[in-house]
Order: sequence, then structure tokens, then C-alpha cells
Amino acid sequence: MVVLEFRIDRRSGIATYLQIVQQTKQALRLGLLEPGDKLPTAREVVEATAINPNTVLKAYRELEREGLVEAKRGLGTFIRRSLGGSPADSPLRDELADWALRARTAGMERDDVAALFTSVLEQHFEGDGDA
Amino acid sequence: MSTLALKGPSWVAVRQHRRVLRAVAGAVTAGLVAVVVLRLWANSPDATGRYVTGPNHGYDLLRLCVQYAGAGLRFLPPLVGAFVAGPMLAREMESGTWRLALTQSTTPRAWLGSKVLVAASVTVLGSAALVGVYRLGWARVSGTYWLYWHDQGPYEASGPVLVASCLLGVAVGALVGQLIRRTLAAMAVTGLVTGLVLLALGSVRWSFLAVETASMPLSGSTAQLLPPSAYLTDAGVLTTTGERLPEYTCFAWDPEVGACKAVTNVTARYADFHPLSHYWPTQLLESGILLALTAALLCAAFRLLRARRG
Amino acid sequence: MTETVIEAEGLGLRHGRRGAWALRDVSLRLPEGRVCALVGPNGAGKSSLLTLAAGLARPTEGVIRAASRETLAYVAQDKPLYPQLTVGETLRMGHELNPGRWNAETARRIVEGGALDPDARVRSLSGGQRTRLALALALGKRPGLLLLDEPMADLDPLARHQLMGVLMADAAENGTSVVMSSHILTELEGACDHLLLLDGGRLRVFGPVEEVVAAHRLLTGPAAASGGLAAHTVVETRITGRQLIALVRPRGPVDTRTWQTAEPSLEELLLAHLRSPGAPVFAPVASHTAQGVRA
Repeated sequence: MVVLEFRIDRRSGIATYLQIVQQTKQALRLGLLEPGDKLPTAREVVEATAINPNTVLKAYRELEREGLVEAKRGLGTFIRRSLGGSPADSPLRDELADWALRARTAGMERDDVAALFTSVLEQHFEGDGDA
Repeated sequence: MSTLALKGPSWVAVRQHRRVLRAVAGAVTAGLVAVVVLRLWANSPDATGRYVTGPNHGYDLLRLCVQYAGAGLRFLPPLVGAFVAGPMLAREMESGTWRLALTQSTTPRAWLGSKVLVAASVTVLGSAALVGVYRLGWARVSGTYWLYWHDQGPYEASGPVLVASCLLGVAVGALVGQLIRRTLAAMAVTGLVTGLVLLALGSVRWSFLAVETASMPLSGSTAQLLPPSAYLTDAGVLTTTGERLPEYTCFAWDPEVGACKAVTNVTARYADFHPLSHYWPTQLLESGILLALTAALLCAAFRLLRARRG
Repeated sequence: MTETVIEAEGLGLRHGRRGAWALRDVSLRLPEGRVCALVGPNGAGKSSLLTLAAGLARPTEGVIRAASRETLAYVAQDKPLYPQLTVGETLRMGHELNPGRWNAETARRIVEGGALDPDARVRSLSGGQRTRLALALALGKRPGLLLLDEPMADLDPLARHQLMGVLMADAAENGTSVVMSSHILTELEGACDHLLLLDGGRLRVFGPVEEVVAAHRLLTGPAAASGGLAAHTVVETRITGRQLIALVRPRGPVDTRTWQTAEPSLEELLLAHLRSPGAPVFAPVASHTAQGVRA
């Protein structure tokens, strides 16, 4: 059973292999993928998306390097661990929601908030890769 | 034409041209049926040999058909050649399918080889069958005006020369079809070349074997001089010194003196002829020459392929 | 070290003795297992290169070594097939002409993906159906090297995506090397890991896509500072008012106080090369080979 389907957006400007990495991580965070699940084979991915097989292999190697998946020879690529994301109702989310409300009350535009958030993210997570 | 036993490129060649193969089989069968029917019709009870008493429409029609068939079969070799050159080869070049054929695992040599092999096999079987059918009809009417063994038509259609001529067509087609990459042009050139070679060979075929010469006193007639069915190639009068003079020299001769009035030293008549026994040797010699030409042309065709395609 | 599937040195092809050169001075080495996009405007020499690689023409000068006839499959631009055969017979032909190699299952899957009637005559097929059948014939042969000349030109977007997926799946499964040409880059983007740009019969850019993109930078800055570009290999400069946009191959650190730098998209990169016929060739692998041969 294929548990995950990748959507490749050629116009996004994001490297194709990164899109696969990001979408896998996203699925892990949302609990759509769990340890022990099998990722689609390179053949399945390229047949569905018409992208280069080496791109898929590169993405899987990247996930493996990060310790998220494990390639078992002849069997496929399997999820090793889940990503410690924050569930939708965590206290962190509540705090962020409070903050967003305050920003809005203070008269900030949506784009200003996003730019501020991104710059803080970059400051604190610098060098953490693309996820 | 069973395709079950065929393999590889030969299967492909037969599949591509199966309509034509069926047409060949159909033509031979139709010819056979027509000849059998005409012969049964022509065999009126009182008909003895070639002389027929009273009107015999079956015989007349058979005779007419044999005449036309003989004339028509002379066009068979150019036609066979045109088919090999055009639909079999040049069309592959013209439509680009050669790029498909020559990038398969089988070699270019096998590609051309299978085409030549299929064409040659069908040609040999088909033309031999047509010779058989023709002879079946001709046997009833041979030895009559226009239908003697040495006449153009019966000679070409009644023996191995037809088979060999058709094979020559295949070989010319195999070469021209590669040289000229347009279907119609390749067909035209092949037909023309094959026809010219056959005409040239036909014009010298009665020189292959030495003629036999018969002579007799001036008072006799040439008709008595010749064995039955002989092919008269030259006739005239002889002087005492052995010089040959045209027959009309002695158009008027004096039966009392027993000599020619115009030229006194003419004493005898002569006739050069091919006896019936020359039929098979001439057929075989001509076939041999045709087969040698065929072999040389096929050799050139495969060399050309190797030079171009490796 | 991976095997090489196509190797060319000083390759040139001229039609007729006094004809124009369709291809000139092409040197390249394509490693095994790659999917290479062969791009360039019409008449750039793409078909000539593929014909030479397929062994259907002999080079006028130079040499080309590619996979043998048994291990390569080639689909010409007009998808030549025998019109009088049926779809089923065409596949049988693949079996007959490739004894010991033919994979009927692969071919059947591709044909069935397009709902092609096995009894339909080839002459009655649409352009897209012909392409599908031609690809089935090519992939059924289980080639090590697949040469495709404008393979997707006749296909609607869905069939294009589907067949490209089939091609990529085959490449993933069997490690097939693929070279496919197109004059529309977006058709091939994403599917290819190598890029080969031809223009006017000459090789302009060749190499792994990542390497090609990584070697180029799009610089935006004041036109007055154009003198500073001399430190780099300049592919193209365009000046609009006081602004200058240049595509360069940096030969050292770029002065980021003067220039705003960006990674060019593949399309920007190719267009810049096509607009500047005099720009230096980018083919690190090819030049490496050439030096090796000369030494």
C-alpha cells in the first residue's frame, strides 16, 4: 500500500528533492507517517510524478542521513522515528496564537507579521537545514 | 503462405507484404483454373493434335490466352524488381521506417537478407508455378503460328529463363532500392534496368549455340531442308566457291539448266537453323548467365549496405 | 567509476560534400544511468546527434562511441512504424527482431496504459497512440540506452505526464540511460539530471544539471560597475537604464556589496546562452575528456 503521495511543483523554485524531504517530514509531523511505515519505492514515485529517479534517491538519502528513515536492502525504505512536532493543541500553539492576536491589535499587517516571524525563525534556527 | 514457421526479420517481411503474397497465390490459382477450363473446352472429340477441324472456340480462346500470357509474362521480371525496389526497400527509406528496422537487435545484413530471401523464395515458387501453368496451356497450342518454341513469349514463359529473369529483377531491386530512396523512382529505374538487361540478353541468346547448317541442290526448297520445328535463322544460296549469297539472288533460275540465271556459279541452297534440341541448352545457358548476374548484383547490394551501415 | 554510454570526440556531421554542418566539434561523455535532456532551438543538431548515437549515420569527422545496436533503442521524431501491421503484430515484431531481449510484459503494459486495441492497424492510430506504441517497442527491448527524439511532441498533457512516468520508472528499475531531445525545456525539466544544450550544431552547455546551475550566478547591479564583471566568465549582460543584469560563471568571490546575486533558473540559463552565441562553452566533463585524449 502506498502511504504517501508526493506533489511536485516545478514552479515553486524549491529543488525537487527538497520538496520530497519536506513533504515526508510534514507527513511525519502530522502523524500521517509512523515508524515502521514503508515509503513508496523510487519506481513508484517517479512513475506517478515523472521526475528523475536520482532525485528521489537523493531525497531518501537525505532523510536517511537525518536518521528519519532506514533503507533495508531489497525491502524498501522505512520510517525509523517520528518527528517531535507540536500537536495542534499544544501550549506552544496557544502562546503563538496569543502573540498573533496581540500583533494584530497592535496594527501589524499580515505580511509584516510573517516577515517578523521568519526573521526570528532564521535567527534561532540558523543552519538547521531546510525543514 | 503460412507465417507460423517463420522467425525473425523474415516473419516481419512476410507480414508486411502478405497482401501481395496472397495476390501472387491467387493469380497462380486463377491462371491454373483458367487453363484447365480452356483445355477441357478446346478438347473437342475430333480434334487431333494441332489441326482442328471446324470452328473450335475453346481452342481459339486458349490460343489467344496463351499468346497474351506469353507476352505478359515477359513483363513479370521488371515487375518483380520494381516491387522489391519500391515497396520493399525504397519505401522504408522514404517513410523513415528503416531507422526503426536498423536499430533492432538483428543486423542490417539480416534485414536486407530477409527481404531478399522472402522475395526470392516467393519469386522462385511463383514464377515456377506460372511456368507450369503456362506450359499446360501452351502444350495444346504450341508449334502454331507465333507460338513456336523459339518465339518471343513462349520461349521466355515456358522454361527456367522466366524464373532466372525474375530473380535478376529481385537483385536489381535490392541494389536500386538502396540507391534511390524514392519509391516510385526506384520502381521505374528497376523496371527499366531489368527490362533492358533482358532485352539485351534476348538479342544474343541465339548466338549461344552454333547454328546447324543444311545444304541441298538448288532445285529443292528450304522447307524440305529443315527438320520439323527447327528455328530458321538464315537461308540463301551457295556458289561453287562456297560463298553465301542472299536467297533473292536466284529468284529466277532455270530448271532446265538447273542453275541460277543471274549468277552462274550458284549451285546449292543452304539453311542455318537451331533444331528443337537447342531449346533446353539455350534455356539453361541463358538462365546460368542470368543467375550469375543476379549473384553479382546481390553481392553489390550487400556490399553497399555494409559500406553504409557497417 | 561508472561506465560511459555515449562518448564523442570532435564529432561533426555534414550533409553532402558541400552541405552545411549539422553538427561540429562536439565532444562529450555521458555516464551510464543518467537521464539527459538534449535541448536547443530547431535546427540545432539535436536529431543529428541522436542519429549518430543510434549508429544510423556515420560522422563526417571525429568519432562517437555509443551502446551497441542490441542494447540501444531509438525513437525517431516521426515515430516510424509499419502502417500495414496491427498493434499486436508490431509488438510481435519487437519480439522477432530482438530475440532473447524482448520483454513482452513491459511492452504490453505501456500499450494497455493507452487503451490501444491490439487489432487496430498502425495506420489508423493517432499521433499520441503512435508515440505510445513506439515507446512500447523501444522499452520492450530492455535497452541500456534509450534515445528519444522529441518524444512528447504529439502527446496531450496527461499522456505526456504518464509516459514520462513510465520512462522514469524504467530508468529507476533497470538503470536505463536516457537521452531525450526537445526544443521545449519545461517538458523535460525535473525528469533530467543531465543537460546538453546544442545551438547551431555546436555544443554550448553540457553537464549534470546541478553542476550547471551551481556554476552560474545571476548578478543584478549598477550598469556603471560593469567593469567589475571581468573577474568572472560572462555569459550575457543586459543593461536596462542604469541597471545591469548579467549571467556569469564566477571565478572567485562575487562582490556582494555591488551585486545582488541569485541562482538562475534552468530556463534563464539556457535563454542567456542562446541569446549570446559567442559565450564560452560550459562543459567541464567534455573538456576533461578532450584533455585526456590529447595527452
